[in-house]
Amino acid sequence: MPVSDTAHSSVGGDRSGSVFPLSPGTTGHEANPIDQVVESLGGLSEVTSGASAPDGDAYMRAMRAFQNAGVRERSTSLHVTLAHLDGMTFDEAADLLNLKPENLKRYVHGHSLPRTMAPRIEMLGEILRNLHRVIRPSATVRWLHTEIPDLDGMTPATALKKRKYEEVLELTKSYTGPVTYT
Amino acid sequence: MSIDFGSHDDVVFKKAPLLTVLCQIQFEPVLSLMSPVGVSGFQEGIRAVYPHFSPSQAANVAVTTGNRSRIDVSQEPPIWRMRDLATDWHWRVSIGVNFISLETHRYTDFGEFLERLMFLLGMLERTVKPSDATRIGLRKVNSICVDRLESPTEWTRYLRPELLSLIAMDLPRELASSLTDIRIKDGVNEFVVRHGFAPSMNFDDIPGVMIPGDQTGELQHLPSGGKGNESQYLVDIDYSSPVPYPIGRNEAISELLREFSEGITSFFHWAIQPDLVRLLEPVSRGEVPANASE
Repeated sequence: MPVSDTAHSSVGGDRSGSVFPLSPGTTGHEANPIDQVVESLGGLSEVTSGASAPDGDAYMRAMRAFQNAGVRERSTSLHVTLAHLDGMTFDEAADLLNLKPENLKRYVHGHSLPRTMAPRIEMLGEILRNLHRVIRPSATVRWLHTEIPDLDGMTPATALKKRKYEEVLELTKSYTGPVTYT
Repeated sequence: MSIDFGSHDDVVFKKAPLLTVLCQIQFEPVLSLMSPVGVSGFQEGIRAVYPHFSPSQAANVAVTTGNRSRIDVSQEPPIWRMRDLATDWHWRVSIGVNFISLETHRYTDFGEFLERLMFLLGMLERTVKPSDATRIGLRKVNSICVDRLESPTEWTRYLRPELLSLIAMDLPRELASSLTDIRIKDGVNEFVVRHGFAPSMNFDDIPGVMIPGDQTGELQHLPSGGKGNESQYLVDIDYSSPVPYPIGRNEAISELLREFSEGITSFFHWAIQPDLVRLLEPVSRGEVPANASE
């Protein structure tokens, strides 16, 4: 069946076998539209293409660029980010964005997204983009609920609910960085 | 418990007459689905499986003539269509402001259809969050083709006389066409059968039937029946429920559609005669060839 042969598809369940990347930096999937939206907005490209350590100025510039983007682009980014939360329900997605489900529903149904929402959406989108470079999308939920030492033993889901978006973003950036063998 | 028209062999047909099978789930209008932004997440989520995207929007033009002639133009809400293949697609997803549908002209097992539908409903729930369903319907359109019949009464070799009613009678003049609509109440659910024939059957004219085809409505998968050396008979069965199921990866929806599928299959087996069964080349479900359908 064609669906089962498709790595992106969630149909057929989790076929990855492992949540964590065996070969960090491997890009198993084509570029996703989050990239295109972000790039078109001059978003986080400065951060992700730069050094592995965060650059505060670049980060703030990217955030400002995103916040200055049009309502339409922000809304598209929200929709696309939700699409990449593979295996999650709407309410669980709202949790990760620290929103009440009824508020997220309003935004999805066309209410203007406030600019203050932009960093959360953008960082969650970037987290997923990094993550899906190294694990199958169908493994997203398992990864979100796995305790990780670099997050002080928290799961990524818990960290996101505590609004530690930047920490989780840094963690996923480390997955895509160069590998040093000793 | 679905409608049961009696027991039948658990077989699939190598020459299945299935023209299209379509599940449509309706919900309260979500006006954000009028714009590409509203559908962007859903499309992104299913893009790997249904990569070909095309919007379709119909316009109505009404011309009034007379002393005060005028032209009124109105536009229908868009329907966003996503297909697995660019041409001669096997699977098509359509989404509009108040519905989602999945459609195919061939599947080997209803489980495959349900698996694809559940994937779509999960994505719809997460990226659109529609209301509970206002209607859930499953429709199977069959086009039965046999060698050209000299008289409509010959359909009795292939189909039950009870179904054919007047068609089976020796009428004093030639029967030009017959299309009948039967509605059966099944609790709150409704089971509708439209069936009949016409010398030059045009499925585009049948109300509500969404036929696989291009934007012009041209049939891509219609067998050659009704044209040339064949006669064609339509059996279009629609089973629907108004129960407000929550939309998403929902086992209850899956179970409901399984019951609907069984009810439709049960009716189809009841309706056909042994001569037609042989023509359709049944095989037991355990030895399903790649091109067979239920």
